[in-house]
Amino acid sequence: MKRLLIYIGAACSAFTFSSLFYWLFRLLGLFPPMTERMSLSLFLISALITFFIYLSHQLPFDQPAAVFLLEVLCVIAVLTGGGLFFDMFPLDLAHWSSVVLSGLLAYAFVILLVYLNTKADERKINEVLMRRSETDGQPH
Amino acid sequence: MTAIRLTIHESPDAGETEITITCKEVDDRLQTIIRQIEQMMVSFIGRKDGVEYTLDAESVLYIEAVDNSVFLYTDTDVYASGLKLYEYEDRLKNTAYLRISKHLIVNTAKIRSVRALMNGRFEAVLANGEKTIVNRHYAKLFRKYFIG
Repeated sequence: MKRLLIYIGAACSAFTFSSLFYWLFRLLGLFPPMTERMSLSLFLISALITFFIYLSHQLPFDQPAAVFLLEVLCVIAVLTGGGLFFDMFPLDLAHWSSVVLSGLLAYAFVILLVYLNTKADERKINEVLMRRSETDGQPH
Repeated sequence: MTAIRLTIHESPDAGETEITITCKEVDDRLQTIIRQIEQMMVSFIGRKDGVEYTLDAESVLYIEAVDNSVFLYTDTDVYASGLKLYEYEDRLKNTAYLRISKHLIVNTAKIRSVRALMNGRFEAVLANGEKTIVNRHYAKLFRKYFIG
């Protein structure tokens, strides 16, 4: 259940950060104004990326570089496919690279959030280990 | 926290040595004691320089599979074993041993501290300073073992 909440939180965070980056690129004049339809499409794309990342986490390999590469590919593929399907941006290199860059930046923030969650668990586990070593009378 | 009364009946007429725990329910504290008792009853056979040794489960830091061989690591020595990793996993259920990667079972009693890594993994520092990686697929069980 906790893992499911983490993935739901990741999808929401991805949506928040991608909206912020969209707004940033809008300020730079690269993107058109965001409509309600685009906002919904952005949320669906964020949820879809998280779903594909969840699926990639079920694969039997665990090498950090391979996992990272697969996750980046998920972001790029879903952004490109979803962006074209929802007609979110014109298909040219400038728009595509801006969209992918904003997606990857949003992904980086999500990775950071997952890391902070693991960091919180690290503290809890170390507290348990500390209590255990005090009970056992062993130096920690 | 309720106190635990320890009663030992020592008699020359006693048959097999038996440990009985009487309780309303097995809580975390009792679970730890049960794990320790079960672990005390487990020993391993390890080979080093052509000689076979009996190793207490408590003295082993971790069990690692390298290619098709399995090795037992203590503070100072490495012993080869004839068993497979899944056989150890089976034998060490309900003890302090926990699978943390495809190739490694760690004695959690020997973990000194942990460190969070990217991608939901942990680095576990053992009593002898060695570091092992808790892979993402096993991190959930690892968390559950320590913090529920």
